[in-house]
Amino acid sequence: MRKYKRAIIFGLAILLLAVVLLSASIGPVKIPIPVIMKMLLHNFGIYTNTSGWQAAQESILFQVRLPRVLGAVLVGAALSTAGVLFQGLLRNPMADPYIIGTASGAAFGATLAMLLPLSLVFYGFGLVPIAAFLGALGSVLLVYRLARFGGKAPIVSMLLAGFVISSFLVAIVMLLLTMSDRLGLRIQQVFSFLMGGISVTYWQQVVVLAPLVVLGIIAAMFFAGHLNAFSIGEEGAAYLGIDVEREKMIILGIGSLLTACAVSMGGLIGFVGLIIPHAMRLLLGPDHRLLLPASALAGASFLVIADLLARTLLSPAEIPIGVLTALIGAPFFLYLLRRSRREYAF
Amino acid sequence: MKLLRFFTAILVVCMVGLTACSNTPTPTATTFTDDIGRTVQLNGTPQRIVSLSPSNTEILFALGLGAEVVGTDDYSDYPAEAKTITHVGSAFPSFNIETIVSLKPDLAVAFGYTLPDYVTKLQSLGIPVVVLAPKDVNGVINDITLIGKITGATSEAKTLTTSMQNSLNTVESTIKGVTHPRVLWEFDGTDPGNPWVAGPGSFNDALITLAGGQDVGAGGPTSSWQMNSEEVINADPQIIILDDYQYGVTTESVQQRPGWSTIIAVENGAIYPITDSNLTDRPGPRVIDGLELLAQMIHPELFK
Amino acid sequence: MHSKTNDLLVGDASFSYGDGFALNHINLFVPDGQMVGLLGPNGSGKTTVLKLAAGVLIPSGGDVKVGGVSLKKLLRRDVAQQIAVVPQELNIPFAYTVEEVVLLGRTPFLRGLAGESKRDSQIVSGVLELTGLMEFRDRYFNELSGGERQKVVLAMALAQEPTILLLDEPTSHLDISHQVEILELLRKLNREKKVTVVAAMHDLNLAALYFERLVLLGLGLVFADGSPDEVITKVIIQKVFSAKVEITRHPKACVPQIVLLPDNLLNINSPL
Repeated sequence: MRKYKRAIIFGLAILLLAVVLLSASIGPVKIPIPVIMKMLLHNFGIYTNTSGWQAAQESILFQVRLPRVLGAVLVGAALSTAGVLFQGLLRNPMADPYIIGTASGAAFGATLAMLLPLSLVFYGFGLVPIAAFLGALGSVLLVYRLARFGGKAPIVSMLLAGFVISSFLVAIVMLLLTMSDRLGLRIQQVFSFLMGGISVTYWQQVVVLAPLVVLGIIAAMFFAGHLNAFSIGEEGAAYLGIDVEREKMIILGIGSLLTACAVSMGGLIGFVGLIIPHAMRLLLGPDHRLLLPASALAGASFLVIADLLARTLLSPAEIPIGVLTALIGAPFFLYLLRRSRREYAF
Repeated sequence: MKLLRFFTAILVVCMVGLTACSNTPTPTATTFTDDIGRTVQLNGTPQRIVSLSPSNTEILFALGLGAEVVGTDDYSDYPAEAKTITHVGSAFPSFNIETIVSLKPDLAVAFGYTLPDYVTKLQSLGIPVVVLAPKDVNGVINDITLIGKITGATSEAKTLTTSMQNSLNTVESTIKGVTHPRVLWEFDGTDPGNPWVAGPGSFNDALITLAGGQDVGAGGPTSSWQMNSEEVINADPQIIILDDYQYGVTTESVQQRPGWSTIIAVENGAIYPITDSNLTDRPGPRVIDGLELLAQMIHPELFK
Repeated sequence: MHSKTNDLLVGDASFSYGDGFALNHINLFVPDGQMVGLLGPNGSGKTTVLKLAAGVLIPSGGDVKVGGVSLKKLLRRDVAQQIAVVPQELNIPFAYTVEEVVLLGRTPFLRGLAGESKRDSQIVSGVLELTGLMEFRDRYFNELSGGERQKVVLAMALAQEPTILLLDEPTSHLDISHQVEILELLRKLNREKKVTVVAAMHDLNLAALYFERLVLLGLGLVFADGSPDEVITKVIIQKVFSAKVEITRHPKACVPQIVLLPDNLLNINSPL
């Protein structure tokens, strides 16, 4: 069983690498994969021959394409991991990373930022992504506080509080929009954010968020065994020696942080956090020790492909990535459900 | 069967008769066709006009009709006198029909993006509505002529349109035969990786062409769309026009965008912020000023 | 940290859910290796007592100690390494196999990113063998019958290698054969492995047959505590369960058995 696990993870990692190289090679300026390899090796000082490519290709690859593709990797991995965490903790295969208010919080923060005439850049992040990040986290904190009673935060209360907060924030967003200047453009911008799109322009953004996402995923892995225990219920998990309230808070925190990182780079991309964990569970089983790393890798590959299609299918325009994740994901998932021998009982 | 045919004939005759009757205009009414093909009927010269867009307000004032304007939309700010007139709301989010009606207008001048519901509503309340929807500078000139006819300010309209046409002709002849450089018109670059640009069918796209340029966003799907960084770099515009100065986007910030240093416009410093976007975004009489400004940016060697 | 002996003491514990239900000054001392049946009508607090004993609920007054050490002083993890609980029902919304579920019993012993050790696997196999679940190991938990699922949950608890095993109505919802199977297994564990067993029981007759000591809860306190003969009497059953019964003797074992008296038989004198 252990050898089989390692092989799958290794295979998914190789797939991710291949998909990244593929995506980096495609665009209005074509850069063949061998050329990419040469440029990368040269960048790391291994390959000294500087002929074989044009300056334009190098500039586009390193300054524009790679940050974006790596952004897609991070967003895909973050959303999928968060999805696994929420589905495991809430014991609900229909949970997604936005379920307890991160989406509306992010939308609220982003809209507020779009309306303010401030121009701010922090490590490559503009006001909108920062506000989205803070909004997402703030919203979860609020939901948690609302649901907490007598030292415990029951899952049902959190779901209800999440719904209430979401509705409220969405209403405020609408109100802010109607009161704003240049409404037509604002609506376009908000819609663009809601539909999602990888918005990573500077390397600094990758440098800041990559460690957060990677650490978040590793931290999640520490709780893999306990997430398995959570699947028998909070009471059962307590019997198995888990400090339920404390770990619930930590796991939710990690999941929310990963989601916040994702929205600050890609807006509200739906489907990934719901379907990838689901699909991986159908293919590989519910053991979180395999499910977590597999979902992170698979989600990353999935989003890189989705981003590639988003920016090439209707070139020069872009299809909002949320539309693509749904269009690709839904039929594939349906196929998996029909072929699967593992059953769901709920 | 014969009876049925008889009755059908009577019915047809009546219908024809009735429609013929209703088509007879009352003695002092005049009809016009507006920009979206609607027939507008007026009884006499309008004395109380409501303008539903800033460009319409400018046109009315330019024709010397400032005194007849009793209501404008919230964003009408030129000329300065327009700001003191009663506000009636705006296209987004809504007009206040009650306020409009309380002003007892005998003409409402709407714009292409005004929702049809408002037009229908105002018509049904007995207020004639003329909708202006110019696609380019010629459209604006035609609209000025139309308004002149409707309001009786035909000589003022003639003077204005002649002056505008002359300026337009001057620009056209100056750029005749010159190659059209590639121009990027940026509406909003707050997300530097995916700036909003002017696309096909937009007013700005038409202006660029008239000013002797070639809009790189013309290959996009809609009049305003997001062009990602890579596409911009690939299009390699020779001139970049920043219509987002008020959002804090500066020439320096554009020069620092990753990968943009290879763009010709950036290399040559041909990045021009628009300080008063009302000159280029408003399809009113000042659009000629906007055009001349644009022509200067695109062909500095031909215009001063 | 482990205690020297494994006596369980629920000392003068009080608890209230705040909705009118309350347990007052419950005293229950279970010496190491005893097999105790916890009885009482629905709502009498059997489950609550078990949760207090497991440390999952904190008493508002009094204390719970294992081997003389208060549960408040122990980490949940440490408690779980000594005390295992078999809840009444277990609902698992994902497709875990029987083996994976039983493996969950090793959770209190697993550390960080490491997976299960060889020893963990051996323990799981041993437990599967003991509970007769070997042939089910790769079946999905959700596909099993009620009785089989109950055995799996018991196996999971046993994988914790507990010194004290608490069970909440382990035989309700089961067929007779399964009920007997589980109780025989408990008896075996108690006799051979010296596991202390405290089980909340619904069926008074089965409790009398398998448990050397019975504790009856009623009206918010310990109403009776002793051998089956001492606890299962006509008067006590009438008082606590509000039911009129006849007490007979089991034909083979020396324990009392309850025989119900439907209304139409109430006026006939009993031969006893």
